[in-house]
Parts: sequence; C-alpha cells; structure tokens
Amino acid sequence: MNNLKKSITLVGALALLFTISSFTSNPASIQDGGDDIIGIWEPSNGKARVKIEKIGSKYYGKIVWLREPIDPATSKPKVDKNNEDEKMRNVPLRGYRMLKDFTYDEASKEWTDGTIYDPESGSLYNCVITMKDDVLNIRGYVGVKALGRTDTWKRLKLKKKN
Amino acid sequence: MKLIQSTILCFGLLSMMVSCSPEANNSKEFSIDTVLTASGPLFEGSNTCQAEISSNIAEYIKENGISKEQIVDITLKSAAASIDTSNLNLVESINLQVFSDNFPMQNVAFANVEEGSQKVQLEVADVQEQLKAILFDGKSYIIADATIKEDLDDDLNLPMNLNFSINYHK
Repeated sequence: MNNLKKSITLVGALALLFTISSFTSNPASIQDGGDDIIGIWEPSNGKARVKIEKIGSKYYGKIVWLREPIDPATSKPKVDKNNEDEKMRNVPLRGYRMLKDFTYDEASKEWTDGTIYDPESGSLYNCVITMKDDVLNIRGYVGVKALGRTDTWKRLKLKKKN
Repeated sequence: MKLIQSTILCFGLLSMMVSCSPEANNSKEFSIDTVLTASGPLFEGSNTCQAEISSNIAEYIKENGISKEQIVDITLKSAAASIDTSNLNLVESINLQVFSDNFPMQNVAFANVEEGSQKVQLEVADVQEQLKAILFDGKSYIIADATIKEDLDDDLNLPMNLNFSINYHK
C-alpha cells in the first residue's frame, strides 16, 4: 500500500514538473502578445493588402497587393509620387512600408509609437493600433489622439502555395 | 523708444543664437560593408533583406580625434548593391531603409534595377534625419525591400556598400 502511495506521489510530482517545465522552457508557449498582429490585413476600402511583420523589436506593415496597381496617368505601376522628397518619388507603392515603428504595450494591449503613411495624400500620421477578434482598429491622428480617425482592417487568411 | 530698444534686443539675441549654433565645417568619410539577406523561399513581389549594422563608428571617430559631441550630423552619400550572377534578371527594385531600437525607420536610398545589372548605384534621399542617432544607438538595422519578378527557392543576398559623411565642427 505504501509502495502504491509512493508511486502515485512520484507520478504526480513528475507530471507537475513536466507541466512547469513545458511552461517555462518551451519558447513557443511564451508567446509575445504583440506578435498577434503579424499577418496580412485589408483596410476597409479594400484598395490594398498590408503585410505586418516584426523587425528587431518593432512592427512594420508594407503594401503587398493593390486593387489598382497601375497608375492610369502613367500606365505604369503606382509609385510614391506624393513623397516630400523628390528623389524618393519613384519608390513603388507595392512593397511600400506604410506602417512603421510600432511597439507593443502589454498593459494597454496596444501597438503604439508608430506612424501610418497615406500614399494618396503623402501625409504621415501618428498611429495607435488595437485588435479585437482578428480586426485591427487603426487610429491615425495628428497631435491629439482624440481628434483622429479610425479605420478597421480585417485579417486575411491566405491559402498556402503548393 | 521702448519699441526700438526691444527690437535691438531681439536682433541682438537672434544674432547671438545664429553665431553660437554649431556649424559643420569639417567632414570625414565612413563606410560600412554588409550583406543583407532575405531567407528563402521567397515569393514574387517585395521581400525584406536585412542586416544588423555593426558599425565601429565610435572607434572610427575616436581614432580620428573627433568626439560624438562635435558631430553635427551624418549623411549617407552613396549606396551600392551587388547582385549575384544567378539573380541578375530577378531583382526589379531596391528600397533601402535604416532604423534602430530607439529611432524611427527612414528611407535613405532607392533604385530601379536594370536587367542584367551586377552593380546597382542607389539614388540617395535628400531628406535624411537622425542618422547620427541611429548609427550610435545600441542596435541599428538596415533593410532593403527588394522587389523580385518571380519566386525564389533560395536566400536572396545583397552585398551593400554604404558611404557616410560625418560632418563635424572643431
């Protein structure tokens, strides 16, 4: 009977040890909540798709698809023609990083300190991002966050290429 | 009378501010050679080649008797990329950006790549800000968004030569 008790205790201890070690030593289980934003997203106007990725410790989003990739005025792929720097006006919009330098704030569950660029106007805004149920609320503003505008982006689940 | 006195005082203060502001009257060239890599397989379109900049700029200025405080700004003067012969007709464009953990990303150079080019000279941006802060920050990164014409099973490596001008006052 004593041996049985000892065996049960030993099995229990091993199970506990296994549980603790799987939570502490397996990097996959310690996920950074900020990484939830990584993926492909579509703004509400459906004009583009933006891939958000992490470089270093910050998050960036670049345009990977445009509904109308050709500029009707030039019959060539769209470029960043509104850039304040004349020399950078040939940069293609496809591949352009419109979201830059976001860091994740674990306390508020927000991606903050970043900027969003509107290639249609050439304007740069401060930006804060929140996420709920695979929908991003992208709030762009100048100066005061309360005076900004929010757009909702939905996550795209793309099929893998064979 | 008071108005005249105030005006004179304002002009005096302004001229003092202008004369005291640091002006770079010396410059030194500083170069970084690095290889930017995007891990394959890669899909057609824009792919991110990146490298952490491990510049020895602090050592370089020390060797040249320049202190960090003397540096007014640092500007990128030229950027050149080499393209592997196996990828000669693959890369369409290269958009070069730099940033660090504490300073924002900025575009510094761009090039449309002509077919068959092995050496690509990028056009350097006129607007360059905070390069000094980025290069002296703890960890700084350089990335090249390279647009490729078709899928690539392998890694894409872009050897890059960057020449900076360190502008400083004595």
